[in-house]
Amino acid sequence: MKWQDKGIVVSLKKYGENSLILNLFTENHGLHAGLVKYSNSKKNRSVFQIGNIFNIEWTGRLEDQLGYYKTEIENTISHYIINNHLKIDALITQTSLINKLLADRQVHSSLFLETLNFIFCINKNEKFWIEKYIKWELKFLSELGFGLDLNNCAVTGSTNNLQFVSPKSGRAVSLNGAGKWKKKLFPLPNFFLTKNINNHDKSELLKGINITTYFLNQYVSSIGLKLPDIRDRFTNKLLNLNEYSKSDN
Amino acid sequence: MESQEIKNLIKLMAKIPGLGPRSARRSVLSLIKNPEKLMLPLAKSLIQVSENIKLCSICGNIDSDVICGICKDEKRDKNTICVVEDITDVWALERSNTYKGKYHILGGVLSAIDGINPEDLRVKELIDNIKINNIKEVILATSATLAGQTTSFYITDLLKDMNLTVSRLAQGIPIGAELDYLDDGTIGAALDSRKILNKK
Repeated sequence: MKWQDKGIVVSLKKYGENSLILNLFTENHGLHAGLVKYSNSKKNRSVFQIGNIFNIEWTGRLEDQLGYYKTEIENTISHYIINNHLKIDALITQTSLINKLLADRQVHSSLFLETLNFIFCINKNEKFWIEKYIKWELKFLSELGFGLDLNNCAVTGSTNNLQFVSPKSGRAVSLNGAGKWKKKLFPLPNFFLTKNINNHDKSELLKGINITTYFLNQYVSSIGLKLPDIRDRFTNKLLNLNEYSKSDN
Repeated sequence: MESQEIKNLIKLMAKIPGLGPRSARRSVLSLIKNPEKLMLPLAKSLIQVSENIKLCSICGNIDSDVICGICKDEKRDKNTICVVEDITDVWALERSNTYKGKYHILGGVLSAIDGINPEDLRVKELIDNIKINNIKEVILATSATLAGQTTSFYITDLLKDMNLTVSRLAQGIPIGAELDYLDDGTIGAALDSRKILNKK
């Protein structure tokens, strides 16, 4: 069997002296592992890093075998973010969520594209990358089957003035619909509803993190797991971020 | 056919990094052919090492005493600690013969994927060591990988309220390399950490 694809490194494990087992999040084959031979050569050693993007060819005698990867590097992300602790934490959190919570070999093409976009976004030093990360977590939740419905109000059906998210249903609630339950609902950040983010606002960011943290925790506890520690460290750093705009660089 | 003893020896030797079953077989044959010069001294040496080797209670290095030779050495700079991932990193730095301070071996790096958290590393011992020995500078010499950098950022955060200098090893062009053959990320890192030679 043989196929070609594009993949993002989400984890790697040394195997023997010269090989490693590379776990890639691929576009058309989902989370898929394979053995890479001679990965420890001088030429190859530095490219096998989390977040780097490869063009790959997988070969195996049977479909369910581990198989071998032939790799060709397409983008090295690790070099560009290596001195930015927030970006490193974001990338490691993202890859460990994928590695821990997605099922092996199940295709999630749209999530792959979102992940790729986020990686390019931090690679190019784009603004609002933290908001984009939180929106990536929303997409991730929907791929897990825990997506939020933010199209209209769960109580009134209105599409206007959506200001809250219900922790119970994961649906948006308008100001009118919230009524006396207002205090029990999550405030909805504006950037969840718009495609284009155009201003830095730490309070909005915190609202977003609260929502994704709650629903991610709901999901992982339902399957008897817990979120990776790195995510806690990353979100704590965000909470203590004094000047948000500085995190862009 | 080899005897069971020889088979066992080959099997054990093949587990040593760098040796496979074939090279283990060759090594065992060489030992058998040189019992006086090689096999018995090796056996004696192995027993000595296994009986005497200890982990240094201060830095985590291995030596024949509970406090290693580097920690005991009075000539070394007592105010500087170089934080490394593993014992092999100490050996590499010692080979360079340029660093004259003390060391602290973490025993790995933080890894979300492998589930290695700060409690699994010798971070608490590092903080204790810094407080007890009145350290003035900590050099973070973790590897230039994402996991290595995450670890060094984590330690920097822990040390930010202490009155000391925290530095890390430079990243960039290795000596003897040509720019044309380097990847763009390494060139970028080298530009970022360039050294001013002459300033107007």
